[in-house]
Amino acid sequence: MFRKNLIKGVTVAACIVYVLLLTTHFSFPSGSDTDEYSYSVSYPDRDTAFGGVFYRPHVNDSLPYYRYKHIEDSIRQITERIKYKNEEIRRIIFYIGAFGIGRIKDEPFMDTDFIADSIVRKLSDSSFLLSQKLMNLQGADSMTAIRNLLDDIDLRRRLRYNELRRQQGEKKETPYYLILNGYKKKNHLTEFFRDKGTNNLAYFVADSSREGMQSGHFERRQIAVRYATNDQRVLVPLTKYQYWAAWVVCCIAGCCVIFLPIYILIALPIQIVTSISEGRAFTFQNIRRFRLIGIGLVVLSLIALFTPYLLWLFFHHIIPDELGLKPFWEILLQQLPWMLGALGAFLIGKAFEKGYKLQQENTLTI
Amino acid sequence: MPIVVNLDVMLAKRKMSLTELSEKVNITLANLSILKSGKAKAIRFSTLEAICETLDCQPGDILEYVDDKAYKRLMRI
Repeated sequence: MFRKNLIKGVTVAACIVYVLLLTTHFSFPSGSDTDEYSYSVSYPDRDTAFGGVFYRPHVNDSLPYYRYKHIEDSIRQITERIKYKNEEIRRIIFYIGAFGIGRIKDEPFMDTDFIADSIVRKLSDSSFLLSQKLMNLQGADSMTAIRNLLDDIDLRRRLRYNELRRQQGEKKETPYYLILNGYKKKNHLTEFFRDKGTNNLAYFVADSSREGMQSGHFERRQIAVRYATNDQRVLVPLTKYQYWAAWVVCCIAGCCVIFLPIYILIALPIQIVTSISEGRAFTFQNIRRFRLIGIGLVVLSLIALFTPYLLWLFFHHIIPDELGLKPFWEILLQQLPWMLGALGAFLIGKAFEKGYKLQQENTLTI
Repeated sequence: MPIVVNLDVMLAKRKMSLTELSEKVNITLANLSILKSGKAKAIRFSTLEAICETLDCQPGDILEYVDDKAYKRLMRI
């Protein structure tokens, strides 16, 4: 009995020490929401070197409201397009917790990309001439006819845009990516941008520092990976063969990740409830099922907890230093409900074990 | 559990079968078998009283304490 308690105590102590070591001594890079400095930054004026991420032109306040609004809307459309180009991620094929794989449509085509096309130009010119004619017309029938023609031209232009998008899309090869979740920028001033098909980082370089204030400028550097700021994901480029190998791994992992929770959270509880409803509550099988639920939840939460760090070990040589994983405690907090669920399952299992013993005693009391 | 139930000895002395005993004391044959084989965890006083009354003996005639070694030898553990 003493030996059993000793083994249990040593196991618990070892787990606590291991967790403490992991949180305090392992130097995994971690992103941070707060910076210890405030910054005075000179933003690039024309922003030709940073892919437009710093495009924030000043609008003259003295302009008439409608012109001010028009310019503001245009700037907003441009910044949204830049943001879309740099961050938008579509067509993620497979996504399991800390990682996923996908093929991403790069730099989507806008209507303005096809202005140089001859057919689009002719249609736009016709539309413009008809609009001018419409302004000078009086008769309702004539105006209706011109409007119908304008609608027809607009439809033809839309069809032409779609045809051109399809042609351009077929020519472009869609890149393959391995997606790693949970990466934050260490400095909020760091920006990712795409420029001429390359991945780049704009990062802050301090020129001077005093009394909690840093002054500096931006520099750019090409990096091997892509970064989605909103989703906090790092995208590692893959070759076609690496992608399909990763796809196989994801399928296997996906099966485990999908079927294990279904078995633990649905199948086992249903079996327990069924046996209880049949009057066989305190049985050895139910005790075993509760233990399985607890072990399964612990395993799932440990996998979710340590997978980001395992992936970082594989890819840390290509992930830039400006990006870091979320702090360990933040990921641990996300797994806390599962761990508490596991603890609950173990406790209920213990209670059922006691109930089983009492039932056995009662049954074997003559 | 080093309490041995010598029910079969008393039944032999009184020339009674287990089935007859179960009918007389109003306990199922299965429970009496559990008692006889030593698998029972506890016995109620009422049951002990009924058995002793039927077999005309003392509780000490049916229940015997043996030490762990002797018990394991007896149960062939």
